[in-house]
Amino acid sequence: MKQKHFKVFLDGTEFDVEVQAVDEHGLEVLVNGRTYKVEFEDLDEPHPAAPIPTFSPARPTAVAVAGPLRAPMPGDITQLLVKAGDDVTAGQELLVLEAMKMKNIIRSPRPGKVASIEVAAGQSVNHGDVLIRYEDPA
Amino acid sequence: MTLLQQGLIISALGISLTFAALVVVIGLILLLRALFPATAPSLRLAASPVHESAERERSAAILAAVWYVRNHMQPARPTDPALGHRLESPPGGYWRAAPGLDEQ
Amino acid sequence: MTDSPTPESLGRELEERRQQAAEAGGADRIAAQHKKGKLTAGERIAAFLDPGSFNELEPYRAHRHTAFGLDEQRAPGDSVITGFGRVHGRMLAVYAQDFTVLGGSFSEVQGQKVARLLDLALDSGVPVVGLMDSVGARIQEGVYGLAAFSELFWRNTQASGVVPQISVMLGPCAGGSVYSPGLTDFVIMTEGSSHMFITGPKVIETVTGEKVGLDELGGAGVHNSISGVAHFAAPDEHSALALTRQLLSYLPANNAEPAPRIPPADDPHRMDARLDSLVPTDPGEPYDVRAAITLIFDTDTFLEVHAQFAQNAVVGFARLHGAVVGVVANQPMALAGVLDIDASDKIARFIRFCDAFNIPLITLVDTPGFLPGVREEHGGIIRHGAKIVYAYSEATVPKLAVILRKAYGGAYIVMSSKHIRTDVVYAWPTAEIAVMGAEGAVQILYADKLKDRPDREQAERESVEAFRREFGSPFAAAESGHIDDVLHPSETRPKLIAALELLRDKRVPIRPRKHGNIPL
Repeated sequence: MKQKHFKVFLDGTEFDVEVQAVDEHGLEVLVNGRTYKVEFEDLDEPHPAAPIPTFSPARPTAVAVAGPLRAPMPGDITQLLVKAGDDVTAGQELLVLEAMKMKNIIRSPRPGKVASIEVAAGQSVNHGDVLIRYEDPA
Repeated sequence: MTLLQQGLIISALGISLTFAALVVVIGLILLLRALFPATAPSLRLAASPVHESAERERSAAILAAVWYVRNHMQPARPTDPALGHRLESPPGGYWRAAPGLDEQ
Repeated sequence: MTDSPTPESLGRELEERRQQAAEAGGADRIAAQHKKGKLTAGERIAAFLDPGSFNELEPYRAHRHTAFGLDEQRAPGDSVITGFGRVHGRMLAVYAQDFTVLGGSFSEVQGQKVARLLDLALDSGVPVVGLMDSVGARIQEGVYGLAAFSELFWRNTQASGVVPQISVMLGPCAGGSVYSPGLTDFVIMTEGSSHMFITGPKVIETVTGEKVGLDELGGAGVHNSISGVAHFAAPDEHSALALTRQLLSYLPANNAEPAPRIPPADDPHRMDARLDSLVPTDPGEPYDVRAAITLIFDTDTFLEVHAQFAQNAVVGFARLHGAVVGVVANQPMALAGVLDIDASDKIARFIRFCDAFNIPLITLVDTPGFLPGVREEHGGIIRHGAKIVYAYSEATVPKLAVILRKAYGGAYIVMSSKHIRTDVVYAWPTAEIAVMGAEGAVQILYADKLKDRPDREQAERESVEAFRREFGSPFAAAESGHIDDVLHPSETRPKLIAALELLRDKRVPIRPRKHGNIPL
């Protein structure tokens, strides 16, 4: 890492300064024997920790599809995120289905109330198996 | 000559000697400075007067860091100043629209 | 003996006729339309086009039928308003079915007026936009109406791939006439008030006994997410028309023009560090590929097409340095990013539209393969998946690809691989390009060696890691020349812009043939 040794004159006062780069955003500065840590951030570029833009799941129009929520792929249920009796909105995350080596988050296709959950965590399901039943008059 | 005079002469000689030596030393310093100029760059910056020396030290540290960053932390590779220019005008003569448009 | 006409009297008569034609359906019907929350045809055209730019054609054309009392219901212009005008200063042809005249029913005259408009648009090379709102065929006119439909469909087909055609559904569209929007490039539906189906709920109930409502059968939600017939859904008429205007800003007027450029407002050198940490290193963690799209392409220029259909693939238009590009991407967040029948259709159609209209294609790849299952196989995933590779292979527009993470097997090939003539293929360090996932490969290749070992699981894990490093790493693909380069994710934007610049004038000779035979 580059190191630089020089004098700084500040309004007539002289300081003996040594600068050492620590990483791409930080430096250690030794002034008259005392160490200061200086970090900087380029405001012209977004900070790596700035939030990644998120999208609400493609705004679902109310698809009046009757019937229960079925498994879109064969896989294993690893996590249930709602329980019977919960009111859910369209697009709300309901459970995690591990399939095709991916932790898929299954979202609700429509708003409604969960009547019953037909599977348990750890269970294997096939394509088309019923996962969640809605309470609906439709 | 009287004792007083002797004393005065010795004093005068002594003072002259001292000053002469001083002149020689100063001359030597100047000579050495001229022969070996300070290579380390000096940062002279105007800053509003700060009363605490710790504050000044901190300021000095920040300013040194800024100077260092600007002069020594260059982007890894040069960027292409003409990037994208070609996309600002429509395709040139080499491009052909749908093939056989006028041959049907 | 009447006085001979004077210029003033003639002028007055014209004004009266104009007024009459403008209120073709009569004040009552106009009020009824408004009461339903719908605009009249004239109002829609005015809201859609640049102010004052509309020129109507054939406003006095009327039908010639007398059966079933039709001779008493002759309205000037019949059930459609046709003409041309501007959107964002660019000329196009537009027609709007007039619900206040005989329900906007599709008739001989409507067919003739729209066909004539399409002829004009084809000769002039301008896009065609149809604002649809009709009860269906005018039965009283008999086969004359059907003949007129057919003329229109024939012209939709002749215009396909020559000028962009957009259908905006602002009301019902039933029966045979629904094939016109079915043939067009983009269909925009309005939620709640637009419906599309071949046979309606009543007939269905009679024939099959199924009871189904209008919305459930053919509403905006159904056609956007289940059938894929519609590409966009808008909450109301004004937003549907605004969306159409926005869509048009990405499209050239015809297939002999390049896509319209806008002055670039975004820094081409922008290297967003957030891209470097976007793809999780755990291959089982999903992420939203639309975040990558937002960070790579010009800010706020991504218009997703077919957003709710086959969500495991993302397609849409975006801009790079002001130039329009077509984006195709796998979406790991939905269905693990696999390719299935619906996604294949969605991708292939979009690619072919872009190829027809000189829009370069940029593909972002992260797919573990095709969806396994009897349903997919019996559904014909073979011929649907083949559409993707056909579309990419056929396309002669500049083609770029970036492999973000997984690219396995057949899906690697079809998603714009170098071998099907993608011009430049880049990969991110997280890319895994292989015949199949490491776990599956190890099961097959090392089955015998691992079978009898006591520390099987550990050995298996080590084999998987070794396999991944040796065969799946992007550098393996780079060494064999299967990809062009490995990039830091944040470098993607400037690299794509530079490649696009190189390929701006791309020209590829095409072997003459009438047309290929894409599996359908």
